[in-house]
Amino acid sequence: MRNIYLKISFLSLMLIAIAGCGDFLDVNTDPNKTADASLNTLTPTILYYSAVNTYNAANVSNQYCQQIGSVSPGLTDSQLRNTYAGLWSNIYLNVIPNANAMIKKAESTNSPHYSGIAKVVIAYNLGLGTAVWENIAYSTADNQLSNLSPAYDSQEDIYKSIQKLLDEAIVELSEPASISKPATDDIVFKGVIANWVKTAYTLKARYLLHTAKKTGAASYDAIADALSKGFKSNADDFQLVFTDKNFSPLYATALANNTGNVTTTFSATFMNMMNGTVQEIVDPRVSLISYKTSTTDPIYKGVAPGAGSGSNTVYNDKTNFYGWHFRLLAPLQMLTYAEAKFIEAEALYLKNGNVANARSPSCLCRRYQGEYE
Amino acid sequence: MRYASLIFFMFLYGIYLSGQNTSVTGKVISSQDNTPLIGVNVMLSGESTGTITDLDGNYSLLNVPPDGALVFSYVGYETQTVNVSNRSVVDVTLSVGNVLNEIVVTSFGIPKDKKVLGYGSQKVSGDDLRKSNQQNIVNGLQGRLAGVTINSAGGAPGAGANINIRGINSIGSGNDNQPLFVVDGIIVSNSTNAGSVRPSAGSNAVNDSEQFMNTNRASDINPADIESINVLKGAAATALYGQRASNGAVIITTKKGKSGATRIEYGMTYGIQNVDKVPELQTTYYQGLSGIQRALPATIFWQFGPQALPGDPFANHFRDFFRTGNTINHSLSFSGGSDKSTFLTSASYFNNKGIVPNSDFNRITAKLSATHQLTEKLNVGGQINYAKSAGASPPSGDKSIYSALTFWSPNFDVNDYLNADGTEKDYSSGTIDNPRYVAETSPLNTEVNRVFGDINLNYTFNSWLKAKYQITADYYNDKRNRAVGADLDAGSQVRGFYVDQYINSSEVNSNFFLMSNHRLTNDLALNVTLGHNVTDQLTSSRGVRGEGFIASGFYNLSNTSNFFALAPTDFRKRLVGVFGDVRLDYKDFLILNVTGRNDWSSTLPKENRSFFYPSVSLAYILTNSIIESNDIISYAKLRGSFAQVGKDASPYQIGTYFGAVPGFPFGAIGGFRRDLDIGNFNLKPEITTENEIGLEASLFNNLITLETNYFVRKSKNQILPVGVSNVTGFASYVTNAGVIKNSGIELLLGATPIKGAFRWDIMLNWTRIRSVVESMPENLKTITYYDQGRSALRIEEGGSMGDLYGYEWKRNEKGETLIGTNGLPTLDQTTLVKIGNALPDWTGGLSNAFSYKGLTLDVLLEMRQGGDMVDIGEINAIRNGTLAFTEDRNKAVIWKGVLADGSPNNIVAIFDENTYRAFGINAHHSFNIQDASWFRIRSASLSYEIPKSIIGSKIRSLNIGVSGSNLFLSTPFRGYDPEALAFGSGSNFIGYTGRNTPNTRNINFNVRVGF
Repeated sequence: MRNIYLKISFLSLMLIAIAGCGDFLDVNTDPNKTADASLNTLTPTILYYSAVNTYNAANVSNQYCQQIGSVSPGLTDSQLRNTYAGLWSNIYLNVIPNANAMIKKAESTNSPHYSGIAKVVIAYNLGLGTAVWENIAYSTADNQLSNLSPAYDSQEDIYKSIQKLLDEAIVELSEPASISKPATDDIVFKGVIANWVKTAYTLKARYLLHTAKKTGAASYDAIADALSKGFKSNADDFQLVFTDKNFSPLYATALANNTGNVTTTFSATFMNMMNGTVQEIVDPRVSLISYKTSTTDPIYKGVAPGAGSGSNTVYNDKTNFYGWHFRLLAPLQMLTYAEAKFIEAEALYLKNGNVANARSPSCLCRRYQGEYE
Repeated sequence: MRYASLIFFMFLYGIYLSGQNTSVTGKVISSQDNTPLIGVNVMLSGESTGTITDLDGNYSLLNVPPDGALVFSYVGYETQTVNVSNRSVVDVTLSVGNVLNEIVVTSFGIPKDKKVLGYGSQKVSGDDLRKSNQQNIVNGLQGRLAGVTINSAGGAPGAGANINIRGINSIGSGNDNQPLFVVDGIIVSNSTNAGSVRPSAGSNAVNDSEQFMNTNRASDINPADIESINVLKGAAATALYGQRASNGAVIITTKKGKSGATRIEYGMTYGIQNVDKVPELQTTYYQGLSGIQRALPATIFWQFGPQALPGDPFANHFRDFFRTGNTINHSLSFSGGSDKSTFLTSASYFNNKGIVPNSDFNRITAKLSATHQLTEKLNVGGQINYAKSAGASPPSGDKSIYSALTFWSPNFDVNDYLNADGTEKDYSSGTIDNPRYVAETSPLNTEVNRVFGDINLNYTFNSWLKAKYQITADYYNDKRNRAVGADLDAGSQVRGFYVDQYINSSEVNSNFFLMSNHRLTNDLALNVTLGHNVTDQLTSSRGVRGEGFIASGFYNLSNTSNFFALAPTDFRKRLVGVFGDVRLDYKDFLILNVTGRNDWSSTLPKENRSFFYPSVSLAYILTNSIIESNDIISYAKLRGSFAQVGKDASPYQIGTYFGAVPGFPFGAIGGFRRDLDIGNFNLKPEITTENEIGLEASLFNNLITLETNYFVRKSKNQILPVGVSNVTGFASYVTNAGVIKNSGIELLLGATPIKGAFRWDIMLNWTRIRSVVESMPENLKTITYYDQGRSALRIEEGGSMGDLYGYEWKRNEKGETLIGTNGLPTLDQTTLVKIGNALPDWTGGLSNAFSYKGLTLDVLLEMRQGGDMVDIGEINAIRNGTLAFTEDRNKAVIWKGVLADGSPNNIVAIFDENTYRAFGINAHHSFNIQDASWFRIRSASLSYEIPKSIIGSKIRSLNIGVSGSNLFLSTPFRGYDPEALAFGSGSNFIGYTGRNTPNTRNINFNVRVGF
């Protein structure tokens, strides 16, 4: 009997001892992360990934258009099916959730300028996505697992969302007051809001031009109007300059080429248009953007699309010449004044010309200016 | 604190209840010939310390309660428990017994008579562990355990070893499937830390684990300190440890001091090691391409040149690269005690110069343990262990020594690696590194300092009630650095880099037990253990990587231009558990054991934080009831158990977090992004349910002992990251999904065919484990652990862990291979097909021990049947034509198959270098997935105990011997020894080998002296 009494007493003592264990176990929060990121730490993120996405989209599209090509045969420039690795996941994992977080935070802290920037960025990325995949998700995006089989929006709806986002952004960016203001965290414009407004307008123009044939003649005036409030010079370009520590993906490609891991370089189609083979004159810019494969080469060459570099020519120039686009600290251009001028020209041409006879400027011509779309 | 009041309370109770203790003496003799038995362990029932009989068989034990029981145990004899019954002299006669009756150490260091256990476990003595002279104790266990798979991570000094008990239960790729390691009740870490060793760009490595074969931390334990290891395999055995031991537990008991004269032991081992198996080269064709020799400056690492002429230089660069390594080990211990205290102190030094140039490993250990009887009832004990393990580990995996070796042409001396000016000598114009240059300039330097130990208090209230409190701690600091020059492949894209990292790990455990054993009636005995456990774990890491060396040749962080902070981590986990173990003994033949444990874990959501799991086991000793012990069956026991064990999640799965963007700060600007993974806010623990039945028998007067187990183990609610549509804003969702079943048979058969002056002992172990992935979640029908490009390690519903998938030829509906117009089959690259499995069909080990007058010969054979592996490095050597596998070439063949119209193929194709070099041919599974069954002599040792007549009286014992491990290997596998895992220890990526340091064949000379 005494034994059982003893056992019960001990057991109850233990239970008492255990009762106070709640706080002891409340340690499941990662001290190296935050549950709430501030606006000035989210801005660099979405701008960085927008630039990376531009590269992810361009790296494949430019090979299809034969501006750049693969040194090894049978790869992307053979125009095989391609998944545009990284572009989809970056848009939906790295841009949209963080931009949405920015919009929410901007609203609660009365900082419309940040909200405007986020919306411009979302519009830009949706533009990349729809150009590659046509129908993509937006209304179901960032649903926090409430919808595990999200449906895609039609391309028409995407373009509508893009214009809506840009319009809202322009209103917010034009607000006179913003409690939190972007500064050095705005790694593209360093907090100059006027540049964001111009970017939004020029983007509007770009996407209006995409849908102009569907939306009709009125859009040409809308384009002209938007451009008048958009970029005024090359200094307004929407581009990101990487750092000597965070390499631009273009520089990383060229660096790999120069250290024995050759992947992509200029395509013969493109080089032949600039080195005098196709046109009868040599484009004076060719020496700035390209390089000769050996010191004895008379002209600038490129790789044959789909066929690679042919013989075992090693593509690292002995002087380590990186070219205008691929050098360290080259800007990765996302939207430029040059493109704005082409948009203006095309809009005028289509407005004033007979649509059946209109020949759009060739895809190649636009690339010539260093555009990535 | 709350514990203090608890203990105080019980002291008061205990003092009130206790009686008077006395000292007991006696003599122990053998039933065989009535001779005194020397060195018999005499302990108070339930204790793990006591005394031993002296040279006359006499013992003396103090503080024995008059109604207590004494346990007498001695190797080779049946353990006897004798009630003191108020006597002061207790003489005992021991009869020759068998291993099935011995004392084994179970959870929390509680010793139990194996007879009463309702579950399977297996004990390996310290002497057997040391037979192979492996300094990593996990390697020392190879070949002896049923139900346990041990793979080394290769022969680099300090390389880790991986241990799995009864299959892989957690299918999440990052989940831990290794058992719990416990030393004298102290939970010690056996983690393998891969750290962060890759640059920001330019590496194609799958992960950090494949770049170096990091040490598993159990190798910090000095094997010379170990008395025995008891492996607890099933959930019933580990129920008291709860989820920490859902993969089994390795219970290590170290040597203790014994009262009597001080004993001194010194041992020295000197060993040499060589690589045991290398790929076979062809010597028929010289370097070149298309039958034509090539000359510099063209790239010249193909062996598809002309027929070699006699006198052409051919060396096996795989073999020539390795040198003879050596090892030296010294260990010294002092132990002894008085009637109130015991102590043991030991130290050791181990040094291994590896078979790879510029690789080594050093380990220093020191230990102090003591016990003291403070009062009649209160005993205090403790130990402190220090270990320092340091070394230089050779690079493996992507862009390493081994990837370079597979490209190398045998026509060039692999050891001629320097130009006159000290720069790298390179015949490949920068395409590959010189493997020797890689080894000399970029090892991983590590230094680990570790301390672990405990303090324990044992209070005996009376003959039937005891309490124990033990506080344990394990702390280590792992400092590592690695430099890679800009002239190496791995560093070229970032102009060289240097990584410096610190990893700290600490764990504190507080354990409190109340133990009672009471005879309720003449027939019924009751044993109750109640316990309370608190665990606090923290693992942190900090580091920095500098990229872009400024001045050449100075490999230091201060000489780099770009700094990247390695993402800081601090993983904290806390656990509180209470448990109870009730054992009912009916008439000494029917034993029922019921346990229950409730855990509260910090890593699960608050509502699901508490979970309970029970176990029940029943043991039925036939020979104490329905079968009279006779000449055929002297002992037989049937047992069965049912048990459940839970397993919690890793820390910080619950909640939304923003972390630093990889590679940031951007210049000087910081940026955060939302985590790509999110945990289910309602996450539940994984639950493993295991049913086990077993039979233990001793036959023909203990000539044969048999133990066999059959187990079925199901793990449900696997905590897995399930991939989700990125549109949701997340890449994966960590949730409970999936059911995996592991079932198997374990067999242990021992025999002593010859007993007497010449003795022959045999021990056979045999294991067969089957795994089935019974269900996988809706939107995660496939988990691909590793896609190597030509094969993949993957599981699908209905498949098994370890399934290897590969490519097949395109076939028609009848299953015939389709041959194209070029006479070649076409690879079906759209579908990966299940080709083989990395886990073996069965494994077995056979140990034969012969002894005659002080001379002992031990041979351990081990065999693994089935089990496929992919040699990741081989494909480059195939494409370059260096291997004997590619000797068959330059001939016209007709591939077996049918043409598009169904007629048998008659098109002649040329089988030449283009065949070997084409992805469309060499990606077929027959080039990649190989049968890696093997048979080997795991270890053999010959030792001689020098007779007392020669060594005199000053020295107690002198033993000299020679031993070896991995002495013979037979396998159909083409490359290095297929046992070496490519991803090292602690990884679930099995099935791949070939790009790390191969296993070594070791020969050792030992001397052991006792004073």
